[in-house]
Amino acid sequence: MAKDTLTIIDNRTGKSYEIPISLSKRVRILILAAALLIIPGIFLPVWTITLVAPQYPKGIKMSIYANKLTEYNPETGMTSNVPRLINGLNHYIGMHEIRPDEFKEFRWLPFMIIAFSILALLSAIVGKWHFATLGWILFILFGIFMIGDFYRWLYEYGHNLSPQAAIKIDPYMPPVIGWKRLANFTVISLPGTGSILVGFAAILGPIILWLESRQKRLS
Amino acid sequence: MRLINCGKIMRLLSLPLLVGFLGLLFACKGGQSPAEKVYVPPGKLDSYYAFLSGGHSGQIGVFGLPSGRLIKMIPVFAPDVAIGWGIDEGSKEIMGGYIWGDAHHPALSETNGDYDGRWLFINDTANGRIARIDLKDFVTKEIITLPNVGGNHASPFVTPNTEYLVGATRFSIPVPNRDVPIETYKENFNGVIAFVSVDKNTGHMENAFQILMPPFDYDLADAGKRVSYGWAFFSCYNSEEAYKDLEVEASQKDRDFIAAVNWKAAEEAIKEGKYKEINGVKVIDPQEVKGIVYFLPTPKSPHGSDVTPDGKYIVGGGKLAAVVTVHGFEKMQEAIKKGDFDGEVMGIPILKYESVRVAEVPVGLGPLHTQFDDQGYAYTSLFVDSAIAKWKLGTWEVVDKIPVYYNIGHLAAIHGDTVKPRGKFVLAMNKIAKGRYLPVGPSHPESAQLIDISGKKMEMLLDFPTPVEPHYGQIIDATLIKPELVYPLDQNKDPYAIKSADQARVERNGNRVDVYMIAIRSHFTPNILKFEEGDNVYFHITNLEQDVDITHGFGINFSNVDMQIEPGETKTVKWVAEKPGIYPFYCTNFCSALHQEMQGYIEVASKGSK
Repeated sequence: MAKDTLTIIDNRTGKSYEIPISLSKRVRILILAAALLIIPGIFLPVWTITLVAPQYPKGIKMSIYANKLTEYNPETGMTSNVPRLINGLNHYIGMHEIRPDEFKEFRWLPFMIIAFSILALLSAIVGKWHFATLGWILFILFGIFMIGDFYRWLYEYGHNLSPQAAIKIDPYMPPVIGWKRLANFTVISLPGTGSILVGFAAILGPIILWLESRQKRLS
Repeated sequence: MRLINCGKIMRLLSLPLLVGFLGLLFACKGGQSPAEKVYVPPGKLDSYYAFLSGGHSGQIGVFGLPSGRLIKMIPVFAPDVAIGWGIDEGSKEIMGGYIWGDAHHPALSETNGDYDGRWLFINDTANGRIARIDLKDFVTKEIITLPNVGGNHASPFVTPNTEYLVGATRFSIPVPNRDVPIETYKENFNGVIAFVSVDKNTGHMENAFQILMPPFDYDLADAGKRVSYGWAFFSCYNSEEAYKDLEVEASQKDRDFIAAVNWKAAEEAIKEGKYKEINGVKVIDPQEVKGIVYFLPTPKSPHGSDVTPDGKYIVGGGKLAAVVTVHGFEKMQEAIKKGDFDGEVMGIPILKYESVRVAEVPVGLGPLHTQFDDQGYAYTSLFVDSAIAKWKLGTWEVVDKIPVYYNIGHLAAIHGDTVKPRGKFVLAMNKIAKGRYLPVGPSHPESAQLIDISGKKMEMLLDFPTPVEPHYGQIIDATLIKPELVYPLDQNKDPYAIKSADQARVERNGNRVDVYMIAIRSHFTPNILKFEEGDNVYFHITNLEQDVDITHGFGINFSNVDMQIEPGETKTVKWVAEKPGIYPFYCTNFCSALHQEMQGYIEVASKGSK
């Protein structure tokens, strides 16, 4: 049953290639790189949401980390671990207060990042295609889950509006990525440097596959 | 024929055209129009802060230059009902029971002889005081009384590392003050020259020592710098010692004095215990302790006493003369060494005029006060001539003069009294403005005029009105001042501060009631309050905002209570529940879209009814 090669089919030519089930040295190094790229995700921002308005020309920037969030006001240079300004503004439209202690994610997300880094490290050590591919798929599923989780929070905040709010607005969906206008504010939502690095790590999967099949074709 | 004529015309025209074109090029390159030099486009900031004293308004005006825009009035010696200065408990304590003062001479703190942007000091001529304003928040933090000083005019004029602020008597009084016949002025009255120390870290001021002086009127001062470090120079008039019709009697002598004080020597004398204590201050008597003070004869009722940036010369503005007198610091030192004296007053040697004077510069009528630029020029205000004279240090020749409108008192150049003047502009502070602004009745504003001094000829750029009444100004490079834009709430150490709404409460102790209240957009907590007739209520209000420019106000109807609370700040105000009834209170400083809803009610029940 145990094969020592893996069959790869080239979609364009319809030809199939056999590659050894053991990872080449180059691939192992790339997976190791992925393990290292994931780690900074523990202390770099995962996502940033910036609010810009006429009276906030420099914007108020909320950075979401793996274990906390910060609110930065470029005008004062002050950073706070509770989004005081944004909560103060949101209370006009009756949005639920953003309270960092309500995010259970902050408790386990750093450990998940460490776990996936270790998984990548193990893939590089074990050096088998099956292991590595499984690890990559889990990683991608985790990523999708996190984006879904983020979407759920944003939906909650945009739809769970107090009926007693001074200013009544229609429920709305804040942008997961990109920008959206709400009254006098433009909300800009972008991945943070931590996520960008994690994204590079994730993209290494297809890159490895492409590199390997290309080499096979050439040989 | 025609062609030839055309060519001729072209040839004839070519030279003037070329000259005209080059002239135009030169004019364009030569500089901007006055309007362009003072124009600060919307959204852009001025390059300099100008602090102009507010005279008997007891305040200080903060202007931006070159635009001349008034940015803020800082209340110092007088109440300001908008901010609550003189209303809330903290500021009432700082004001010390007075509600007026005569704010004359602002002085920025210095390090190595140049402005450091930490504090601003100003004297009160009326009640003998000096105030300190912190430039972190532009708020008056401390006011100190200088005992024994009658009318503290020659003040505060800091020493080069803000070791001391000076003060001196304008209206001599008996020291210590007591009931004596005014007619015994010469025997019983004294002037005092005072030194106030400043703590390097906190800015805290203390009366360090004083020197007993003859009963002259001490006018202005400047601290020695560089070579003359360790000395301070005070102009004085009324060496006639008149007490009645000074207008005539105090203008008789051809020369009065500049008093040169060796404050380093005074420090030594204090260390050696050569003083007596009067009203809690160590006072040196020059009749007993020699080598501290010398008089430099100076014509005539001198006003300004200004030390050049290199510290080598002392410029006396002979108010009733047509010259400024320049004394040499080195010449003075030699004359002291040689004992070149011409008598003495109250044990203070008078140096021979000829042995200290370096030059008499014929600047014009009524020279008052002198500032300096970075090119070796001096600028003297001429009250009687209504002009500024520009003259060269060293050659002592007057090189330019510009009229000002009207009757200039002081003038200020950028860092113009430091060891490192920056040049560019000089600001004339004129006493009379008649006709320069839209008429507003018999009381006219004072008028400042900005003058470009970067070229060979001075150029008038801008008029702007100033509130009463700048007696002097300080102009500082704006990059040297970095104020806090909010008070960090987590650093709020006020004993009555609360950091969240759930700490808000009312505590009663007999008829003293303490209300711990928060203000945040757009409500107060608590906002329904019930007291009993006769309660002394202390409102301790913390503004929980940490956003820029979100100031809340707190005003109670049918009362004298109103104040502002800045983001992150706690203030306490006392209100007495005098009469039963309902008293609305509200946010008086516009804060938000729901500012109009930011209010509360106080219910006062008649005594014993509850």
